[in-house]
Formats: sequence, C-alpha cells, structure tokens
Amino acid sequence: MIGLLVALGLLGADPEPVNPPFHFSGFIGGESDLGKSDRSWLEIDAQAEFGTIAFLRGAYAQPVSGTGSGERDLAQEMRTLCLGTEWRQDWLWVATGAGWTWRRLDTNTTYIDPRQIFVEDQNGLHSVDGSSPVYGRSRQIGWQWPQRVEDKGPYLMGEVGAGWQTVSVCIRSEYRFCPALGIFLRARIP
Amino acid sequence: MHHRAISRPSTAFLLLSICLAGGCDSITYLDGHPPSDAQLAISEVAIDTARDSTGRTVHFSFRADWKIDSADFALRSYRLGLVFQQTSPPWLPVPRSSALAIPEGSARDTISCHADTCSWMFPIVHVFAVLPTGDYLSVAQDTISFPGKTTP
Repeated sequence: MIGLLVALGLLGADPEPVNPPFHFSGFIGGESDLGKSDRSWLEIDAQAEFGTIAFLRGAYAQPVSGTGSGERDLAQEMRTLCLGTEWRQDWLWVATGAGWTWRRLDTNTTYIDPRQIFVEDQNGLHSVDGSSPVYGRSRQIGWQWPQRVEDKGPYLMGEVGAGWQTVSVCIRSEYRFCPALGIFLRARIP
Repeated sequence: MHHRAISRPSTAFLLLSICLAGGCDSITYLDGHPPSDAQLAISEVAIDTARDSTGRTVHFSFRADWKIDSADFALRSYRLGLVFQQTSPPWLPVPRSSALAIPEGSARDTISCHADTCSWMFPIVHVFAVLPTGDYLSVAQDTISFPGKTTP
C-alpha cells in the first residue's frame, strides 16, 4: 500500500517548473471512518506546495457524529501532518502522501461508589440503605470525571480531485488509526 | 360522601408513571474523583458509671485516631461520627458528627445514658466525607468492641 502510494506520487511529480513556485491550498470536508468506530469527522486542512515536488499539509478534524459527538466538555480531535506529492493534468489531479497523526478522544469515566451513604438530622446519623421507612429506597453515589485519552500513529493518504486550478473537489482515501473515506472542497491560491 | 377507590391496575400505572417521571435510577453522579479510603482506629473504650440521688448514669467513652489523605482533605470537608441504633433509654447527647479540622489526629467522645440498664446496638465510628449533596460518605469505619449492655 505504502509502495503503491509512493510510486504513484513519484510518477505524478511533474518535472516542469511552475510559476509561481509556491501555492497554498485550503481544504474543508467530511469523512467517515470505515473501521470499528464508525465516526464521521469535519476536517480543515492547509497545504503549502513547493513547486511540483512536494507539499506539506496540516489537518485538524473534529467528530460530527458517532461516539463522542455532543460531549462538548470533552476533547475530541485529530491533528495530522503529512508530506506528499501531487500530479496535476488539466482538470484532474492526484495526490499521495504519508505522515503522522495525533488524536485525543477524551471520555467520561464513571465509578459507582460502593461505600455507605449517611444523612444526619435531629435524631442523629442514619444510613441510607433502603431499609429506613423515612429515607426510602437506597441511594448511591457515582463519580464521573474526564479521562484524557491520547494516541498517535502513522498516516497514509491518497486522493483524486477534479475541477479548476482555484476550486476543485476531491475524494480522499486514507488510513489513520483505521481506514477512512472522505470528500473535500479545495480552494487553491492562486 | 362517596369515595372512589383506585383499582389495582390504576395504582400500578400511577406508580409506574411516578417512577418514570422521577427516574428509577437512584444513583446521583458527582463530578470528580471519589475520595480515597481513610484510616480509623478506635481505642481506649471505657464505661464509667456514677450514681446520685436521681439514679445511675453510664458514661461511654472512646478514642478515635484518624488519618485522611491530605490531598483529599484539601478538597472537601470531613466529619467523625458515631452510628448506632438508638435505644431506650436514649444516650445523650444524641450522637452527632463533628467536623475534622486536620487530616490526621485523634479525639475522645463521651455519651451518657441515665438509667440502671443502658445498652447500645452495633456501635460503629465512621469518618465521613461530606458530599456536595449534603450526604455523608463513609470513607473509614471501626467497630467499637465492647459488651453491648451494662447493668449495675
């Protein structure tokens, strides 16, 4: 897989110089994990192209569905740094790259406390164990705290895009912790 | 005057509705980590009796030595309390918890009973962590080992 991507990238490296030699691109789009997590992400990328030889891309993604979405107080994010190459001809372009990715998928850890609960009133201390006719059914205390979960791993990417030089759409297939497939809108300057 | 009796199915439905509306989960979730278990040792348990013109008084005393994790102690209040089934005649004053000012220390407590025969059932001393709900969570306990009844 890696060899195929590298070969594709080298084949795609255009030896003809381009003017200007530097370009910047912004990507925005969504993708879905095809692994066990079945999570969808919203991702924003920024890419700097150095001639036709290589590009450096940084990406930031947050989940929009699946496990973790809606838990606003918990960090759920992925950051990716990718080095790749791109081949462009007319309205079609192909890119491939590899890099490293970091993710943080904090969770809420819950612990049900098995220890006894007491209340105190004018008659003294009483256990709230469900046997009291005054205090009714037993009560329990649960503790909940955010658990920081961090991970990092290799990143592989291949994408096919179509459109104008300035605006195009691409389909990206990638691996970061699990296979994923996404569609992105790209704006390229100039 | 007529009273309309509630049929059994209606009662069951009413109870189910209340349960659903109120939530059957009796677990209250609190933010943060649970407090660590503390240490508690009861010693110097003693019973003294005194007799005067009004009758016989029994004084029941003990010493409690506690040790609470200092990091936990900084986060919440802790109390020391004696729990037992109140008997007749009652022990006075009614056993109440007292706030602990330091994470490690000792204290003596005495309760009294004015009667010829005084008894106490399952006396246990606890170290309590005070929860935001106002409830007390027992983080340490020690049973007072002493005969459960004293007579002249």
